[in-house]
Amino acid sequence: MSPLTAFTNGIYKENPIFRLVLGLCPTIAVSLAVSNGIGMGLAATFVLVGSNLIISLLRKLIPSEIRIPCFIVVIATFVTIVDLTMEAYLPQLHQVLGVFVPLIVVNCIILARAEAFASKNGPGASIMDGLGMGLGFTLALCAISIIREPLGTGILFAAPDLGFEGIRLFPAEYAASVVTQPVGGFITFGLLLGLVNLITMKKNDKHGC
Amino acid sequence: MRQLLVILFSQALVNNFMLSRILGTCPFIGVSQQVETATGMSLAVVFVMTVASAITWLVQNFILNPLNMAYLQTVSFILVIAALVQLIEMVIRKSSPSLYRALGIYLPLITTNCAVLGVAIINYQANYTLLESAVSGAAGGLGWALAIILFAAIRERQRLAPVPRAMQGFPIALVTTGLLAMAFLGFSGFDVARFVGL
Amino acid sequence: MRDVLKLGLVLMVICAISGGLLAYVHGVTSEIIDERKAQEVAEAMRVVLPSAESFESLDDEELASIKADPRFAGVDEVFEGVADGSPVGVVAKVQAPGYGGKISLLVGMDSELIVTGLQVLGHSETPGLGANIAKTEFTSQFVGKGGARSLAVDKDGGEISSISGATISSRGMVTGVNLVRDLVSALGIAGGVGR
Repeated sequence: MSPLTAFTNGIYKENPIFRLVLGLCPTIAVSLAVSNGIGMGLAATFVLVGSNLIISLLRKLIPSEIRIPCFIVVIATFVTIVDLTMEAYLPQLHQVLGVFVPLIVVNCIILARAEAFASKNGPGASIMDGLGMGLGFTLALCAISIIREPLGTGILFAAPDLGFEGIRLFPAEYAASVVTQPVGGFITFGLLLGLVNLITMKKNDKHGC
Repeated sequence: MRQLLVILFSQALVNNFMLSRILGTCPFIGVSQQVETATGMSLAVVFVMTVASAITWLVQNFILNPLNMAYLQTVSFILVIAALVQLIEMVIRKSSPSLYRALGIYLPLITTNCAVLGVAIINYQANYTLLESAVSGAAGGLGWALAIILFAAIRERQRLAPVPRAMQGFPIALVTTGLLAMAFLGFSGFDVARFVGL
Repeated sequence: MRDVLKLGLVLMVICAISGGLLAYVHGVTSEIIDERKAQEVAEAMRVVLPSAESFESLDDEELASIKADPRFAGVDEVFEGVADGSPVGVVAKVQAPGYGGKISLLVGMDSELIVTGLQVLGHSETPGLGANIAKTEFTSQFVGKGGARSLAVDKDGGEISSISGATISSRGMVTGVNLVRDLVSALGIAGGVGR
């Protein structure tokens, strides 16, 4: 697989959220605001790229019997680096994402890419795969939070760490706070997933698949 | 004792791991086609969450804290959980073949169930004692079990319903979970204090 | 057997590298994190005990005797507020029992045992219900209360109106404040008692 296809693959054709449907917990839990989505997405991208690179480099040295524990240690190391760095430089984002930062370690996307891609491909392609998957994850999080944030709070693009209050679209009294609760997350994501399915089906019908 | 009851109700119902904290979604959607498999998975999750809560508490308080290495929490917790799941699998296989037949296929899936690592971290953040941690783990597991068994029962019926093609599978499952979460929102007004007479 | 040794060795090497790397990252970031946390606490202390000009931590002996007392198990840190060279009150960081876990509280109290300020530093209460304990609408009702009698929520015949549907969280806050009240009395800087 060429590095370019490895990169674009993750964004649409094998988008981890909308096509592979992996890593649902953080997707629903943190997609309350676009800034959270971007923060979570970039954190996961860093872990994906880092762990993909290291695992690809070590793929011939790691015996297959203990590959899963080895992968987990590598992933957990990168997750801790992200966790500590975020706590130091982006404290408010760290507070909002809370337990979901350390939980990146059990995000199925990352272990799945280590097992399915990085342990079988060279470092260059693995980095591109990590970037593509991470970007696909980030875009999916943004797509969900761009719906939930204004509906739930009346504000768009609030980013407390950057000192940005966000754009107020309508007064807070008209916001439906239930959208920012888990209920809204599940339903928004479900409907959006249905929409993506619909578009894919329309496209396939046209091609006569 | 009352404090333990409060933890039990809060972790199992009010802050339900699946429907309020959103932990363990992948297996929740993946293993909920039938009530029977959902029940098997639930038993395994309750068991592992309880034991993992206790073990990670010991690791935190007897290894990480004395050595001033709290930053190794994520690495050590996930390794401990992975090893624990392996160990439980081996013990069950040797000691109780019937239990192994019921739980065996679910155990390997549990390492990546974020409810397990999640409860370990939540216990640490809440400053629970060993006993409180174990109760919190068991309660969290039971709450997750309640959610997945209810959900599996709904899905069994849903199979007969005419769902639009684009909404079949994951999308309708997620919307259903949303409605279930809405039902569980009702628990957030539940005054446990009055209930346990605190 | 050889194989097992080799497998163990590989895993051990990877873990060791990981540990070393994380120790380095921790070393770099912990300074920033600790500094920020200390700054946040310092700012919060000024808010909860405005009459103090500076804050002094207790000497080790006093702190040790507090830590040894089972009544004060929930006390994390204690600072004495000083103005014009004499103590004006105490700021204490305490853990109070909440609903979803422990509530971390910073309480300021003057020498008359009157609450001068209150700030929730961390909690895991239910969003929309118990989580409201952190809001100023709730915390502000503590300010100016206290004195001879310990505080209580309205359900228990006290003066603090609890948040409906969140009795445990509200009571937890009162427990935390009363803990500081007991602490200030025990420390002996309360009015008239003297040191």
